[in-house]
Amino acid sequence: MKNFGLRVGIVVVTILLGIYAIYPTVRMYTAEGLSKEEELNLSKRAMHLGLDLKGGMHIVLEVDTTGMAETPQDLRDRAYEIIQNRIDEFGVFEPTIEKQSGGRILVQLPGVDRDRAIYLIEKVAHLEFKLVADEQLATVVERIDDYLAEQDTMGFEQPFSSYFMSLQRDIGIDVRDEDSLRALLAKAQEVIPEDMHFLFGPKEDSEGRQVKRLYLLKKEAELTGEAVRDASHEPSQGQDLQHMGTWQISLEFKREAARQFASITGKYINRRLAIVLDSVVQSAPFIQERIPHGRARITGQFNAEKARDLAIILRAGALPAPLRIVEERSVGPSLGRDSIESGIRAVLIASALVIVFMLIYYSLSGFVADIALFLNLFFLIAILSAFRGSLTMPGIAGIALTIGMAVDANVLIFERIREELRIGKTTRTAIDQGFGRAWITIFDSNITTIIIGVILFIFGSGPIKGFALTLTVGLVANLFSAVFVSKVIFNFFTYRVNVQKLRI
Amino acid sequence: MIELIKNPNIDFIGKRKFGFVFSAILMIISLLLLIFIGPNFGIDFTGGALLQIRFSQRITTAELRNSLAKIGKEHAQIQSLGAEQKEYIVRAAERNPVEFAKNVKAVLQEDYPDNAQQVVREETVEPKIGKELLGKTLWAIIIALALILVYVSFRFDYRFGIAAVIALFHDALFTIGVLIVTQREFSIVVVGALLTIIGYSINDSIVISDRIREKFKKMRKEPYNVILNTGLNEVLSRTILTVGTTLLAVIALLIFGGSVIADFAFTLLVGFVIGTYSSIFIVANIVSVWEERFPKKK
Repeated sequence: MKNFGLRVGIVVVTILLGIYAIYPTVRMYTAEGLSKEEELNLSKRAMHLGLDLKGGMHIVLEVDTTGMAETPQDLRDRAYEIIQNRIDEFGVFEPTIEKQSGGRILVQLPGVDRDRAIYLIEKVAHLEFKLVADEQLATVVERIDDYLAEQDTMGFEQPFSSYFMSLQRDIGIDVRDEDSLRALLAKAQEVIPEDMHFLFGPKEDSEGRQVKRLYLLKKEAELTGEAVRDASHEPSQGQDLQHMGTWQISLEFKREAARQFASITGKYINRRLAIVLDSVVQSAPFIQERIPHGRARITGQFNAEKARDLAIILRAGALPAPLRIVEERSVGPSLGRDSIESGIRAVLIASALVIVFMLIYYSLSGFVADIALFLNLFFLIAILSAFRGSLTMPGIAGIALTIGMAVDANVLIFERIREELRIGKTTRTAIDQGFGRAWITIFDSNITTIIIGVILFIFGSGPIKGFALTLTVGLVANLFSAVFVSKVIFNFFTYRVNVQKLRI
Repeated sequence: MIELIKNPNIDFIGKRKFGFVFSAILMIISLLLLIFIGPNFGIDFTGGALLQIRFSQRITTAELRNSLAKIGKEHAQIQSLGAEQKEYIVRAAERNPVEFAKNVKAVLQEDYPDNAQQVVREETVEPKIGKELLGKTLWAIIIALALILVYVSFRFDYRFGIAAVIALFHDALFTIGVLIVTQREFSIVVVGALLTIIGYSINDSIVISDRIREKFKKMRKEPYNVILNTGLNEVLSRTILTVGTTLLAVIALLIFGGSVIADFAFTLLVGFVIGTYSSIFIVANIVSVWEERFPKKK
């Protein structure tokens, strides 16, 4: 028996390394009342839970390049920066944001409120300040009415303005008519002055109806979101009943923009300046006096959360182009918890069944196989921890499968040893030859499965990757625990303890 | 010492006709199913949306379907989870999955405002992503098969390599056939299971080929088929034991693993059983027929 001491040494050192690697993981998931800092520290050296177990969202976004001069890559890179800023400000623990080919961005956020996160990521947040063309409104509406009446053979006199209702000092329309109105506006395009356009306000309630305001605005923006230096949210002030209990966003302009803003407000006293966000008119307050200090605020029906998110978005800046969600896989935290529970239960039951089976079938040698099985799982988790791998639900399936397949190596060895014993070899020779002969087979068969695992890992998408990872790592660990470690144990009993008769 | 089978001496090669006929029937049926019915491709490949919704109170499939009909989506699949009628999966192949998901959530909120709903899983895949995924997946399978063929040919006789790969097709095709019959969703996870089956089946084939290779060295004088038979019999108990422990694990997954991996576990179960069968009845038999028709020069 060669190098027994060395081999025992290797086993002991490996186990110690394993304990070192696995400790942060065990502590992170079992210790109570860890401080934030401690947790952050541990998480750098621990196995992670995948989004499907922790709950969270996985989305792939694609920049919409319609009408854009830039290449998808450039747009993607700029959008990526912006999204990163927004998510940083929002404060997500360990987000993943990745550029992908084809103008795509992958965003993975663990444990967030999905709808809120989507708003935060997808909102283009193109902010503009535009003058309201109140003086021209009556004329333009009249022209549209006349123009459409001419076209329309049905003979309505006021095909456009008949939709209107009065909403304080604005034109109000029922939201159900919005589509028809947009169609009419498109039709009457040529009689609307070129430097103006109509935009709608957000949905609001008026006497039990859902309505929107319709504004005629100057097309050219006086200022845009790029002027914003800082944005914050605060409760609405003033006596304005409409905004009681709502929140507002207060904007602070950059120095140069503040000067521009002062001159604009000085020039257009008593006119209205609309604040337009992604082509929706948020509000259109009157300019009462020149505003010198470069501040403005956006009021609307915002609650605290919405106002906070919008402030974050405005601080981080607008996306260079709209983004489309091309793929999403989101899991709520409750399903994640259920998955962990059922996953762990499945793994425990599978282990118990296999352990008992091996004990019954191979008696004491089965016990050695069970130790090897335990070590196999131990090393699997240790390796995942050391490389900060993620455990997903398919990953748990991979572990369960590893358990089933892990004992294959021991079965192969034991069957070989039995054969050798049957033809009258001594215990020691039978063990040596059993291990020796079975080794080639075990190696060959594990390698092919590892090949599959690696391919799955490279080509597979999210769920499959997790499975491939645990299966592959599990099989690599298997070569060590089932062959190397169990041989050391057998050798120990036959040479050191001098066991003569093998119970196999 | 407990032994499953004492000194087995089954004439697998002699009965190879049964194996071939049985497999041929399975293959023809599976192929017909594949051509005429086709797999129930999931949204991963077709593009579409999946919503898993938990209700606080009971609700029936019919009620859900009524709501879906309001937004013109009565064709969506509705699957009830658990016996409580409180959790459902709504799934549909859609061109605009994000829109679909939004509409479904909205109409359910509107129809059942008092029955609190929680969307615990939401997946949307655009058709073009599905197409890309399908392409990638096919590549993965082709590369996996090619590498295995290379490895097995390199380590063993190329005849075993080709026979093993034929067995893999056999296993994969049969498993797909069962998936079609049971109308299980053919998702990306199921493809992962199929690849695992391939890995497992090749594993079995290798163990057997290994033993046969060893026997060739020891029993040079014996006829080819006797050697094959001896090899098969000697590893028989190992094959059954290993598939036994693996199936224990897979059944535990199927029963206790929860809704998310039930399809995965089911696919593995079917594949492992057929994989074990094929490594015993197909691989060595193909090699034996090959040897009879085109004997190797000695």
